[in-house]
Amino acid sequence: MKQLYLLLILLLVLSSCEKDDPQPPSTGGGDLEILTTSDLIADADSTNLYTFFSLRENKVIPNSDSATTNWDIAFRGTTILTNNGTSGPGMGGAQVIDGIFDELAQAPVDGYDIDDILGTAIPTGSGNGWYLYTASNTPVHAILPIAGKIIVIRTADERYAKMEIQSYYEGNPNTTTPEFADLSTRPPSRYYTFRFVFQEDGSLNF
Amino acid sequence: MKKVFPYSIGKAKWVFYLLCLSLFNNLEAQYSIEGQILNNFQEPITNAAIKIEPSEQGTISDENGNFVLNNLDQGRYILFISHLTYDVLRIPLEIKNSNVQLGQLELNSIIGNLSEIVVTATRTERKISDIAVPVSVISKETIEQMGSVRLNEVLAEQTGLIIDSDHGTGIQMQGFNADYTMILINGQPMIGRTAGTLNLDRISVNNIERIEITKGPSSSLYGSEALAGVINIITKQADSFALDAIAKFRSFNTQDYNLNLDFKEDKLNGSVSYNLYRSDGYDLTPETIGQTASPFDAHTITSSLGYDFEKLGQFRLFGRYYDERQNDQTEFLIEDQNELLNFEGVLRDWNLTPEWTLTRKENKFIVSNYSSQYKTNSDYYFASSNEVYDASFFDQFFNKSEVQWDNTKWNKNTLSIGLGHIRERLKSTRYRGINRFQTNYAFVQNDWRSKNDKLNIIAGFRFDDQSEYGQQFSPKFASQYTLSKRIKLKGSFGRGFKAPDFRQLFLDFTNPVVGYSVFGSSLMPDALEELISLGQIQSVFFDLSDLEELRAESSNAINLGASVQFASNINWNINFFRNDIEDLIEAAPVALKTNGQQVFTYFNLNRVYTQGLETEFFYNPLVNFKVSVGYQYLIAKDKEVEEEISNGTVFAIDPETGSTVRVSEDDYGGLFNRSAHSANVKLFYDLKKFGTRLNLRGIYRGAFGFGDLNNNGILDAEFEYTDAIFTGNFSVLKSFKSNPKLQVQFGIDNLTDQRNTYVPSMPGRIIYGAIFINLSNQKSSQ
Repeated sequence: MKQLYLLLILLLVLSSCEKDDPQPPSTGGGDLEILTTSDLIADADSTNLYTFFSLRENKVIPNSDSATTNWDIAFRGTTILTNNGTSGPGMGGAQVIDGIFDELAQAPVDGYDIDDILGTAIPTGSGNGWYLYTASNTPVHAILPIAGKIIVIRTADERYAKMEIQSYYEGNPNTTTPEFADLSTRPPSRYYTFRFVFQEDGSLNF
Repeated sequence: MKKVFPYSIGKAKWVFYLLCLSLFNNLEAQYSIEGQILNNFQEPITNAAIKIEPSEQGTISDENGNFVLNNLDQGRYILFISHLTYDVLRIPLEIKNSNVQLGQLELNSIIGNLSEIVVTATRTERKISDIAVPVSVISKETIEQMGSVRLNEVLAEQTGLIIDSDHGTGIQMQGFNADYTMILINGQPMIGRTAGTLNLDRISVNNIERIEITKGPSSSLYGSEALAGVINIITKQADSFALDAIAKFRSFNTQDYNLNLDFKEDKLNGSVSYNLYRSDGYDLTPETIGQTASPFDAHTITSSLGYDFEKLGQFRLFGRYYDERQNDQTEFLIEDQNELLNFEGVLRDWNLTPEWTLTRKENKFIVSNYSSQYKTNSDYYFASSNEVYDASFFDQFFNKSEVQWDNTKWNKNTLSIGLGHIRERLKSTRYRGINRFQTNYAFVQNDWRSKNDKLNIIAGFRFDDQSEYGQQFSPKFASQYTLSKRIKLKGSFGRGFKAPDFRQLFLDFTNPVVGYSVFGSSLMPDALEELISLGQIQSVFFDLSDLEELRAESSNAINLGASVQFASNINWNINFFRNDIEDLIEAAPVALKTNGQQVFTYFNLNRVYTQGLETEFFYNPLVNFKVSVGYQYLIAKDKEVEEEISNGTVFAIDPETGSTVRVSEDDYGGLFNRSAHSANVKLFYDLKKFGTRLNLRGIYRGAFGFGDLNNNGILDAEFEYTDAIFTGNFSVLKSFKSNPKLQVQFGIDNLTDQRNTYVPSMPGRIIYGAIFINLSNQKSSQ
């Protein structure tokens, strides 16, 4: 019965959308492109260097630019920096919220944290931020993104982006397979695959 | 049968006659005993065997259940009434100078072991059918017929008990992990748990008299750990001289040898038993180095000695020594290089209990002192150089002194009061220094029966005062009402607790390879402050002054049940249970180290519940044919997770498509490793004519969640469940008329060769044979 109601409501909403309001302007049109970055290397060789990334340009920024506002986020192992506070000169910030990536139509107005001596805006540690460390559970010693964690980022130049990390392993492997469970056949870690939406106009709308 | 005296004779003559009569009575008169044997439905029992000792006399009951024994002299006798489908009735009596009329005698049906005497549930001797909490018993004969070698094999086939393999083989009871069931030997708690599991593979079943299983919290009598229930292993007591040898041979080159000596001389009795259990182990994952079960040798010596001082009481001494050695190989990634390591493990434990029981009229005093030590050494050597890579040890000592007083002075009441003191000591490579703690406790219980015996109420509590985690109050209330001859209703409420274990209190561990640290709560916040002063901490997740002292995990439980006897050979029982558990202890991060790893300590975090029903059906279609069916339905869920799901904040990533979806309440499958459905069917057939006992047992374990595959840490998707497992076991035990001292057994466990990656305790089909030899001249006690 409940499902039936839901279906009914869904139908109503859909039909109303089609007829009266085909492109609600309040959500920014929802036509922003979802960009995917695959296998971004985050210090795979343990040299302790961060990999800097610009969301606006969708590309890796050279380490020589680390003290500039050219980058928005930086990766090293499971740690992700944002360009602000102790990490950089930018106006950045971030927060991790629960929800479904595609459904998030608007970035929160406040609640953004910055990197400081107490820790990074995107919390590190298993279960605190975007990932879980499996320890002795199958697949053992794996870093897996937690379902439904959306990282909302305020960029160095105060634009907003939403981001979802999909994999920490090279080639975005299926982590449920025996090959992944076996440490000898598991692809190397510190290879990020993530998708994001960048809102250039400075609004909170995605 | 009063004699009628002739009044016509004179007074003197009469006196003389009387004198003669009394003389005749004293010297030569013989008397009879009469009675009628009924079952508990007041139906006569035909063909019951009646024996009277010390005499050679015997008879059987007629179709009305009546019997007469004639020509008995004056004196003290013991009358034994037995029938295959009923429990033996033993009546001590004295013939003075008249015939004995016993009237109606009621035999108890043996269906479902209802008339077995157990001690665990109330700490006093009670029949199973008289106990208000869920209790079952496994007899020596059943264990023998099952061909079992170790305790886990026996328990795995019981309704509502499921093997739980985590650092050893334990059992899951009412949905609780192995950590929450107390294991007793002769009423004393076994020690030596690894990550919470007491490995039941350590316990040989060769010299066991019976195993008692009590479900529901029993902390009101036993204190910490008795949260899900209590399993009490009662070892054999010698009743005659006997020397027995048993040899069992199994698949995977496994052997089990047992030698047992029983003796009884007047007031002294004793039993000594030696067991050797060895195996080559097995490997479910041959592609990796190291076996699933390592090869091992295990020696057990158990002894029990009793002396009856009569008026000064009975003295008993129980002792056990266990020694186990394991060898295996394993591969470790050490400094980016795969190194082959040899493993050597040694485990030793012993316990000793002097116990003295004094009975004075309606008072009974039991004074005991139980000491036990559990020690392990685990050493890893480089296979190439034979140098030590890692050596660790664990050494635990436990001492419990206790006095119990039972009083039956007030009619229909049994009052039990106990006082005790526990001392524990722990040393280990992973703990700092020597850790000690002490517990003082007291318990009180009263067992009351109504005048007509229809209503029984047990009320009691235990109070524990422990040096590390404080005080615990554990009440229990249980009641049974006999609705009719056929129906009994039971209900109980109890509170159970489990104290934080050594690991949760004292662990001091930093992983040498990965670099994370785990500290027991007793070391906090000092251990973290040390790291801060060493500059190893990047950030602390919360204010250290907010750290609370770790509390014991506790549960409130309700059990409601009924037992229905449809006929003397059909019995059915059912029990509903609900356990609400609070303050579950889990490790959680407190700080981030500069190396990017975290510091963990233990917190009281989760609230979970388990609920379900358990039912058993017993049917003996023939006196030598027993059938039983058992079933359990179980739900075990985390309340926090349920709340999060209803708030809509739990998501899942589909591993195929990578899309994120919201988890609904219907998706949540509860805790991992819990089967909603589990069942068993057992057939035991005794072909007396051929001296052959056959049995066939089917054990079903429904699908259960084995792990998270869609990145939310909970069980919520179909592919996170294993398939159901059904194993069939079969055994035949043969004795010989030509040689009554010999018995042989053949059996197959897991007939269809089932294997499951998630059940490491299941190696596949096991074929076994056994020889039982009675080396003494006397009749075997079996």
